[in-house]
Amino acid sequence: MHIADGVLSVPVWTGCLAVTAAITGVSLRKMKAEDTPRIALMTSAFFIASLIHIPMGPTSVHLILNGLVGIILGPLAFVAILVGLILQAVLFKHGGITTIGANTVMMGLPAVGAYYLFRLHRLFKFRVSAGIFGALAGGVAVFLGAVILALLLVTTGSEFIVVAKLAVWAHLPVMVIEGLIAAFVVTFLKQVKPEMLGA
Amino acid sequence: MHLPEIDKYAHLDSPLHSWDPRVKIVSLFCLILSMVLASNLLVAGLGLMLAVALVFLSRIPFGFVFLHLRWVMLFVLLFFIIMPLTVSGEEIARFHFLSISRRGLELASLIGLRAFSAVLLVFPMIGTMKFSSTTAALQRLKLPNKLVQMIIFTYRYIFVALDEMGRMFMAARARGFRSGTNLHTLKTVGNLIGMLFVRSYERTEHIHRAMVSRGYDGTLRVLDEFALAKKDFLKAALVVALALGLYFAGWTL
Amino acid sequence: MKEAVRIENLHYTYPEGTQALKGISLRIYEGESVGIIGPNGAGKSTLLLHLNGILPAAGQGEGRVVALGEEIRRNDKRIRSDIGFVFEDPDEQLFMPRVFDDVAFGPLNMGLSGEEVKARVKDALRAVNLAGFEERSPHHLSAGEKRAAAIATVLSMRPQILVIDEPASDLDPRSRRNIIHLLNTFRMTKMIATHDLDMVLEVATRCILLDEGKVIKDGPGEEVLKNRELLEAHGLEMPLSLLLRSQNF
Repeated sequence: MHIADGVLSVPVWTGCLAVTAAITGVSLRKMKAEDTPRIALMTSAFFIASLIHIPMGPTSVHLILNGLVGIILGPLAFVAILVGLILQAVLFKHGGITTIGANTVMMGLPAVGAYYLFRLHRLFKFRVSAGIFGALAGGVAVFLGAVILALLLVTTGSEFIVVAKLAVWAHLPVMVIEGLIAAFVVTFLKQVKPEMLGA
Repeated sequence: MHLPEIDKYAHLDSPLHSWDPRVKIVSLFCLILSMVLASNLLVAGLGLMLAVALVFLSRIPFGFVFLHLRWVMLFVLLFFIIMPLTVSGEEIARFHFLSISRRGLELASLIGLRAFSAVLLVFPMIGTMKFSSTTAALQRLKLPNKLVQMIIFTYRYIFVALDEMGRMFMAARARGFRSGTNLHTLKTVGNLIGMLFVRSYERTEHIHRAMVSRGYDGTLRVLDEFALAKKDFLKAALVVALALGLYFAGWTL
Repeated sequence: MKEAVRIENLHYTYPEGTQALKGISLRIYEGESVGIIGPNGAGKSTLLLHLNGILPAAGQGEGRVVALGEEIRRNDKRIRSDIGFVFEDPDEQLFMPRVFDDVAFGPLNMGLSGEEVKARVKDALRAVNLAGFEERSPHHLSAGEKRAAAIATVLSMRPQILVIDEPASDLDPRSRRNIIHLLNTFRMTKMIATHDLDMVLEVATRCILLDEGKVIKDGPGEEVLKNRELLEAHGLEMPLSLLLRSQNF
């Protein structure tokens, strides 16, 4: 779910770059000095966790985890994702240079959305509410990411409509897996380290 | 799991290695822009040749480069399969109900050429210096200090997290964990990821403590070791001229 | 003898309620090498952290710590370049992707000139036998090299007091031996918290046994370490070398 260089039209990728720069600017100003090492360390953990491949029938998918990044880091997830994507582009050549903005918007905005969605679990008092909202947040973040991806492609040109549709469909099984993984991780953290979930 | 090291060939000697990191990043970024903007197949083809030439000049082994092209190949392949079949236009071939359109094929090729050229240029741009030079250059190029710090610390602890993850998976396997398409796999992986997050979270306090005890106040200071020479600007002029040439060639060709 | 550290009736309780220190008083003199021993949870690390003032602000404490003639307060944000602190896990001490940047981190924050920083990095690396390691990445170092590099990150600040938490945990015998040699070459005041009592015997002139937040015993290294009943009463074991000697092997 990373866009490489050379696909998006100039207004689309430059627009995304501007949005990313603006949100990053605001986030960095909000970050306290002691946040820097914390966000960086969590970003490395997410980076490594996203290398895990989950078997899916004859093939496997690798995790995206943008929903979890949002759940744990809150609005600062956007910058964490930007840093993760820069390193992925440089280390793995996964993604692109001019599309760093587009990829960050595609994964980062849903991550922040996932944070607000997950916070709703506090309104419900039953035992597994965190797990359920974790699943929702994890799944919805992937789905929104796929929708943004489709929108970026279609905005670039009508030739990409089929590719865009296919991308959304292909993300549906991933969405289920990500939702379940998010639920398990959230349940684990709730037991072991609840303060990581902002409790 | 294996982590590719971007600066594995930073110790080699080439015109790209000796180039000032700041000027190198800016100039090659211009070149990447010109490749992404290539508007027809001819220009994009020229761009790819230029990118290959620069990789050759950097002396980074092609085997190493090739290993890193997997994601781009997958990405481009997707477009090559879908676009010729779905974009409407002049039909150039037909297999039963599948019709291949010229416009779709051209578009997919253009995307492929641009994507490969851009990715290839990352090697001469970042692969010809130590990662610490790259981040120092980014800092000198006025990227926000906190962002550069995050890139530096994240890069450093990726390797630590990788070791941790490897140990945890080994322990899980020693206790009989086999991954498959089932809920148990997801639950186990979820717990391992959760454990990795908890360890990283607990580490941050210690790291922050180690930083503060050595005078950290939120700003990262690096030693400015850069020195610009005439040669750096000559190389920049050449590369930027090539970028402009490609860009304007797209209008006339 | 000149006093390096004076601790007066120090108490500390962590925010979650653990009472880590219950009235510790100590004087450490310049040039001394002090081994601080005790079972897990005895308060060793908490005591050392007071020398740096970096403890959770929410914790409750009383008492005074004076180092090199200056009182240290909790959450003191000043750079304590005269007290060098080496933490237990080198992966937490080496947070930069290149050894040079890690060793230069302290000196750069002290505001030293580029030339001075480079000279200090060179000296510090030479002092821990890692000359020429400037460009290496921490993840390519062996456990022993990481430990030595971690010490260099503090030596480059030219501290008068060196505080080390568990310098030899997880090291193979040869690397542990190297660290012992290294510690013995340093002339500054040293405070070393460890479970490795054999090492204390070799590097420390004085040994302080802590348990449950109190000083149980304070005296010359060998005298404390050969008191078998005392050590065993506090969950420790007499160093093997002394045990063998006492049984006339």
